[in-house]
Amino acid sequence: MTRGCRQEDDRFFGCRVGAERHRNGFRKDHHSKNEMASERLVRVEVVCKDVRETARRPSLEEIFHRTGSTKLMSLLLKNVKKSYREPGGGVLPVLDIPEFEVPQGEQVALIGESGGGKTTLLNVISGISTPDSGEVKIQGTDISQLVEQARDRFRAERIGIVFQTFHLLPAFSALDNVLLGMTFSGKANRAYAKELLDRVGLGKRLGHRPAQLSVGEQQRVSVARALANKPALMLADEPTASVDLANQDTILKLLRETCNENDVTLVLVTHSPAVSEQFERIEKLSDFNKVGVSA
Amino acid sequence: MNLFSIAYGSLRQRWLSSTLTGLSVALGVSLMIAVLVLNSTVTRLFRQTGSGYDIVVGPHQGSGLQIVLSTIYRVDRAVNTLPWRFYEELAARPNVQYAIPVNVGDQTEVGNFPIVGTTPQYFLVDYVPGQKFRVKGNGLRGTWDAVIGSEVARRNGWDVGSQFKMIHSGQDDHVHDELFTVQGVLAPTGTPNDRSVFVHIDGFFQLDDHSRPWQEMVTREAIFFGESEADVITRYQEDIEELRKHENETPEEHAHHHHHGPVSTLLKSVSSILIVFEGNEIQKSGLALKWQTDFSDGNQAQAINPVRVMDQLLRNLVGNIQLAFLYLTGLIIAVSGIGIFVSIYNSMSDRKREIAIMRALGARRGTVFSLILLESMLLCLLGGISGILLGHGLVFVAAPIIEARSGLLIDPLAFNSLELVIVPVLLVMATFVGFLPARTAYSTDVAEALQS
Repeated sequence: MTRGCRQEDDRFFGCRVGAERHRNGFRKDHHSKNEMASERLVRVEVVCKDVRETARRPSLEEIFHRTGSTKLMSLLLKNVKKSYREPGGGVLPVLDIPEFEVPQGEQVALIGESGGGKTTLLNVISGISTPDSGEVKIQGTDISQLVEQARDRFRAERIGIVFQTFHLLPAFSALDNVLLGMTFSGKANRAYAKELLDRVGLGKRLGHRPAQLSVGEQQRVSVARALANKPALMLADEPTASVDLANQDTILKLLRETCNENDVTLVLVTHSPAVSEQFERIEKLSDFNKVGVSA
Repeated sequence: MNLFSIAYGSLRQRWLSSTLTGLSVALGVSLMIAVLVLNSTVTRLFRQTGSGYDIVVGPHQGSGLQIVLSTIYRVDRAVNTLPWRFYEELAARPNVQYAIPVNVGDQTEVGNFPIVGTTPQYFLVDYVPGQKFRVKGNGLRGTWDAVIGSEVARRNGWDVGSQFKMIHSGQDDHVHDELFTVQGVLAPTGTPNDRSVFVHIDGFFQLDDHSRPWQEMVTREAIFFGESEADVITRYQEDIEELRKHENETPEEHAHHHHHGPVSTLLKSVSSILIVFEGNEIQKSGLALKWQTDFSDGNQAQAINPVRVMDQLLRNLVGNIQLAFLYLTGLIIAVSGIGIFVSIYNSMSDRKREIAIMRALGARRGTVFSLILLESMLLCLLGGISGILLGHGLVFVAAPIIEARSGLLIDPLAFNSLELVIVPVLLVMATFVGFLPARTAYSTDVAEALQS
């Protein structure tokens, strides 16, 4: 990810250099041919576009500046509250988290009771839902402040999600399911999708549809799909709950190793002690969710 | 992978529903294509076939349409006849390049193809502008010679040298004893000529029952030209004396004379006369108009512009029927559009999770909206293209049957410019019918749908 940020910096500075060159060009040429004006206009647009891009993807320096820290936080939740409106008109509070943070590259097992708000928390972190109040910062970007369209793009580019029931699309092959994740971020890379499937042991089952794969294989496809966009943050919602014991270890190992290899932060929700025991950091939701405490 | 392949994959997943829905569109479109091709064929046939002749002159009785239908399209009987003398007068008029006598009403014994008694000149006139008859064989030379259309040759298995008899169509249908010999076979023309049999008019006149009693003809000619019967008798004195002699012959003596001499001009009559004027198109139009005006003043005959008559028929009757068919097929397509709507809309409840997964993977609301619209468009497009192919296939299969029954020569590959409109119209329809399901996809609650 650091490398990615550096590339963004290059682009950011490249953009500034471009703007500088453009200004020089303007001084130099403003007495010359009129047609240069249209070219300059195009350059200005390019520069503005790059600036907008940069605004969406803050550089490492910017993140450190915003967070006031030299340690990069991958995930930071502050005063996050979320409640649902009940059919009877009442309000059901689900989340009230004063603070929760996960540094870049760390792997956290999040445990909690059923109905304790684990899935809601993941939805809030991924931007699928928005909190009623508070900050949800991923690499310094408060996604709760982004408009929906920007949130969708942010999720596509920076967050990988592994669901309990895999959520593969039955109409498409394993390869297409992985490519699907890339398509929405606009970075479909067939070779990389194949490489990912190969890494999860499905190199010879690229053309198989979900119905033709075992449960364990389906979950491996969903892991590959979650990694497809080289995310900064991986969210896994009970990823081993639907697979047998033999596959549990394989899936977990696969998730942890691939996240390690790619410096991806992992937040894994589970209610299985056997799974959570394998993590160095285990967080009980009720410990930092005040709703959970009161419940 | 792109939006298109995702939409296609979703349709493939629901292949039965997609196929049935697409099929309903295809059937509607194919029917429309069939109507359009038939429309093109009928229009071409009606507009072009008579356009080689500047004027058709027929008896005063009956309508112009009836005369044109019997003379050129051979789908109606002749109402009455014109004296041969009148034909000779017209042929001798200035500016007349061709005056071609035509006698219709009889049929071949085999196949019931219409017989046209005419002169060899008939084959010198373009059957449609710029298209000349191509005849295999010698053509009409002798009295008992015949030229047959391509369809007659194909259906009856006739060729040069074949012989046939004719059925006299009248109050008492009977077979003429005389044999005609095929001396020419026409190349296909795509006009009613293909299913016609042309015999030499001299032979036609010499057939039994093709000449009426001379006394009747004298009366008719006197009335037609506004002369006294005595004047007519004086004009044909020699012929009448000869005819009187025949009246007193025994049947055996009559049989001996039969076929041996030309028929008296008095006894000859023609169903109609095809006229081609000399000069350029403007001169021809002027002459046609003058003839029409001149003839409308008297009670002798009528001069008809065949193109105008067929245009009127096309507009007033055939055109309306075709329009009704087009509306009907349009309605069928609209109904299939509703089918697409129902199919996609019903599938939306099952697909909310699928939509939610895509949204969770980063698809925007606009993306899933476009995806559903694209599915609707794909269904319409695939249905439409299949329908166009199916429609032409349908016409291809039906063409020989229609040809056999009606004589309409249909080109299955005939292209109607309206076909170009079908696909864009279908795409607009797809946008309309896909809008509501797409809106449902757009407003899907991702968190809720993922939990369901």
